[in-house]
Amino acid sequence: MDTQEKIALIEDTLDLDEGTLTPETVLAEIDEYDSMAKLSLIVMADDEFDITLTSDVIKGFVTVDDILKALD
Amino acid sequence: MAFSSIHGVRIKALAAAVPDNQIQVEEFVPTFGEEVVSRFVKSTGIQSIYRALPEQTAGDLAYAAAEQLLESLAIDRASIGFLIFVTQSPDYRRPATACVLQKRLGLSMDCAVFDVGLGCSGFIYGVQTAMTLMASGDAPYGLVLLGETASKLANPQDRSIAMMYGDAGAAVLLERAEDAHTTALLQSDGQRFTSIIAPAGGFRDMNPDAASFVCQDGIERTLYDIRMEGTEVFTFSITDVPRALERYLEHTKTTVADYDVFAFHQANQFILRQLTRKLKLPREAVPLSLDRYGNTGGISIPLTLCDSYGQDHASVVKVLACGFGIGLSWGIANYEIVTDGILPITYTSEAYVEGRLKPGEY
Repeated sequence: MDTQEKIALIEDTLDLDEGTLTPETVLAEIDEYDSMAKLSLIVMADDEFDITLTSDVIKGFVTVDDILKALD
Repeated sequence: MAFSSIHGVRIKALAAAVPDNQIQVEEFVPTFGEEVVSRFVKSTGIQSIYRALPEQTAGDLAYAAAEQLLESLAIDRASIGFLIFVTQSPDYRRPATACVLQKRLGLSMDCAVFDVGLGCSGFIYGVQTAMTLMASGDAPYGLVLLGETASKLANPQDRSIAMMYGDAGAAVLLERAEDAHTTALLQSDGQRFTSIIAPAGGFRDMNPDAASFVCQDGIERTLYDIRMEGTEVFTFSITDVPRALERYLEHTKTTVADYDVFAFHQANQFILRQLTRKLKLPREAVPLSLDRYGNTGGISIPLTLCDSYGQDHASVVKVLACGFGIGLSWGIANYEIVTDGILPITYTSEAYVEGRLKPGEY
């Protein structure tokens, strides 16, 4: 999966319109990035990538790029 | 030990009791604001909880369930060979609350009684321990009681917990039945013991200062308040738990189609939906009681069964039950229950006031 597809998946998970996010987007500036969104990210990472996102990893997310790296 | 199989013992009856004190989550709007409350309802599915009255204990709630069960089935109390009380909210630091319940229920001295200190997995662990005792002993009946008043450990300002925990009690009666068999998968991970914890008040840190401090999640708590690492517990619930369920099905050579109902710990609706989706369970086979009763810990499995089948008669339900949470600890087991023995939920405001000793009384 390329970066653009991953971003599209994150947008879908966070209920955002397509094209809202770039790797540089700061998560704290997105209203939709709340505790439920973080849980949805955990589900998505588990379903799509078979990756378990721990709470420490999630706490370390600052930008969208951090999420992309965790999904590698 | 993982898997444990017992033959010749079955659940004859189930009863559940909640405090006669329903609280709608809207009542928390003045404390947390409308947005927090509506987001809470959306993610957890909890709309109301039942909270123990100040004088009411886990023992009182279990007692109410046990009395209902023993009375309605007209069980000879002398025929009960043991009582296991599953709780993390004991009446006293000592003795075991099981001893108090033995007295209150009028059980004989030829009765082994003890407490088991587990939470959300407690029903599976308690019943499996009891079945093992039944299989190795000679008593006609055995009792597993459960009680929890976790709401008393929640900081009233904790928006993540205060609306979530409901208080409840339950009673399970076991009897002998030749063709019955139960296989349980019991697992734990003490590495994650701080995931859900009330740090003070035990013997590690008995009497620390009760001043509140801001935790990493931005919520103020004292050391006596229960706290949950929400993300960690969620990850556990949607990875370790379905993995265990798949392992259970594989080991028992059963499939989803072999069960009528999946009685899962009522953690929150989002978690239950994920489990339902991951295991491809029919949605109608995963009953919910948390919308009205909240998360009642280990009682949530029997409470959900009483909620679903309390009015049902003469059918047999094949149950796959799964409890998971604090410890971390989790367990899965199958039971075949005749619904005649599943009683409707009772509501109680009773408390054992004479159990409260006062200065000068001793």
